[in-house]
Amino acid sequence: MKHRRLFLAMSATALLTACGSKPVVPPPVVSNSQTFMASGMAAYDDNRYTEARSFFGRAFMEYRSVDDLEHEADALTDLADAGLQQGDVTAARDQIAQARAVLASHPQPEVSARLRLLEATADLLDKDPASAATVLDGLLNDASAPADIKRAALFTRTQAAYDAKAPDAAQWLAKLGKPEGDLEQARLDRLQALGDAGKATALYADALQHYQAAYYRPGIAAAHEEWGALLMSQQDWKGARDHLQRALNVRLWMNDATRSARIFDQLQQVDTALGDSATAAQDAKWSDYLKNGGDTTKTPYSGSSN
Amino acid sequence: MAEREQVHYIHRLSYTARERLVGVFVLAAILLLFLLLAFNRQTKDFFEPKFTLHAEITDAQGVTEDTPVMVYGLQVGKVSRLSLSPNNHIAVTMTLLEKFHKLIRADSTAEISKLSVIGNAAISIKAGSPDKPEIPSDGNLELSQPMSVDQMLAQVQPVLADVKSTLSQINQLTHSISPEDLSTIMHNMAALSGNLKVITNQFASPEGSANLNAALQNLTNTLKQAQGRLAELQPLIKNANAASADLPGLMAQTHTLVTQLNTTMGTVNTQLQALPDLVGRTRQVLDETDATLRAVDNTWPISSSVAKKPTTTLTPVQPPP
Repeated sequence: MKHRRLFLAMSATALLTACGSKPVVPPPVVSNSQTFMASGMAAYDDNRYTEARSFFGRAFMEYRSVDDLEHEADALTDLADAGLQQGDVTAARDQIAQARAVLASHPQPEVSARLRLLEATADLLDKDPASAATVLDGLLNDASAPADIKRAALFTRTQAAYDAKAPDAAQWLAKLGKPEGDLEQARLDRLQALGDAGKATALYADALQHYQAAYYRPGIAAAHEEWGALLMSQQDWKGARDHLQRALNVRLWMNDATRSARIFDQLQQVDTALGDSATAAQDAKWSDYLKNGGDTTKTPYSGSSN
Repeated sequence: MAEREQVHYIHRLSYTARERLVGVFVLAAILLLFLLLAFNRQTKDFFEPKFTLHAEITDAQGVTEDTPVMVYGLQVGKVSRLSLSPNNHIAVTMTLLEKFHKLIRADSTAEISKLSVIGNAAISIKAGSPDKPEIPSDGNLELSQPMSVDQMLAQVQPVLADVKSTLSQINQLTHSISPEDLSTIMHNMAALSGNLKVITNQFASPEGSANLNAALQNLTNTLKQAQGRLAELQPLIKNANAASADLPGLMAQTHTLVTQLNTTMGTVNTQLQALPDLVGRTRQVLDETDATLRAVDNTWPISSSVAKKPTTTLTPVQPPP
């Protein structure tokens, strides 16, 4: 009896040992950069962009310390992407330029296409839809560009057409076809709302629903912002204030100073129209503060992600 | 078969072999005992030939049985017995090693160490002249004693008497100053007061009084100015007084705080010194844990249920918001 138990225990141990394989322990630099990248990705997915930029920056330093140019370009691209999500166009453009310099000696077509998409996004943030359209047209005509980047570029190109009030905006919208997933559906709703004011309210409500289902904060903020702008154009000041305030809450949480300042400007107009000059003056003050490099965490309503 | 293996080997030996084995153990024990006696410091002289000497003293002064007996600084024996002699002295019996017997001659003397007063007693024998005969065993040796504390004090007594006498003489000297000398001193004092009178008269003269009046006027002005300054200082002094009233309390509190701060900083410093080591060890533990977890991750069936870490280094492409 005793021997049989011993035999079973030894057999089980041998079996488990046979089922396993020796773990490969990577060198510290690899392990550290992987950890930083994974942490950055997790923060990016949760829209904690300040934190994501910090981790991407640390990963970039690890890659640079071992002259890993391929991953340096990736980290710089991620930094630019996270920067644009916070409206930090200056930093993003600088990182895009650095990444391009790395790619000059070590070309990576996928990263190169991604950088063009980011550059166009930066142009849109700088209110330069013409430049964005030029970049995106080149990207869309590039046969070597990956399909997912081209798909995202098509959405951005449509936005550029609407921003430029181009006559072919509707044609670009038609090219988008059937959306895939919540984020594409919500983005499509917002673009359709720009071209159809009559259905805009319903479309924004639908977009908001999809963004909230995906817990995608930049989309939630953008939907409220555009909805608020629509109501401003309809002189529904109270409704506009509600949506703009909700957009501001989300933008401040993400430490997006550029877009928050823009919303404070809109709120100033709304509060003035509502006859609340004191609040309008406060809105103007906070807008100036953020435009001059102020800290989003010092503003009212801020419940920062950091 | 199994039971046969469990029988102790002693049962398989013959009676003779067992006897020999016991004999070996007994002999080994005796040999060990002998070696211990031979090499132990206390017992190494156990088998050495010895002889005895006798002496008499009136005050034992720390001498006991086992007090060492020295010649030329070497211990040659010890006091083996203390008893009372027929004439009511203390009879000291010393047992000495025979090999040092030739040093103990008829003119040898012995004395108790002077340090015996404070407890370090020893008997020191002065080696005799080689031309003198050896003192035979059980012979008598003259043993002198050091001064006792009472004897020392008795010697100091005359010195103290001398000091007392000297002080008395000084006292007499102070009383021997003559009244004539005192009269001369008084005369000199009278001359000094006369000089002071002349100086006072000079002040009383018109020139002197004019100078004095001017000086007094200046003094008055100076005093008025000083009074004004004092009046200005009055509020400041009041404030300073008010502030200084709280000062002792503040100082006490500050002292307490500084003491607490010093204690805290001391603790913090100690902790901080230990911190790098702690961090280093934690890092090691984490690395080891990481390696273990990796090994577990690679073991079926856990490996099939644990998602692998994504290796992508580019953020997902989404339609820009």
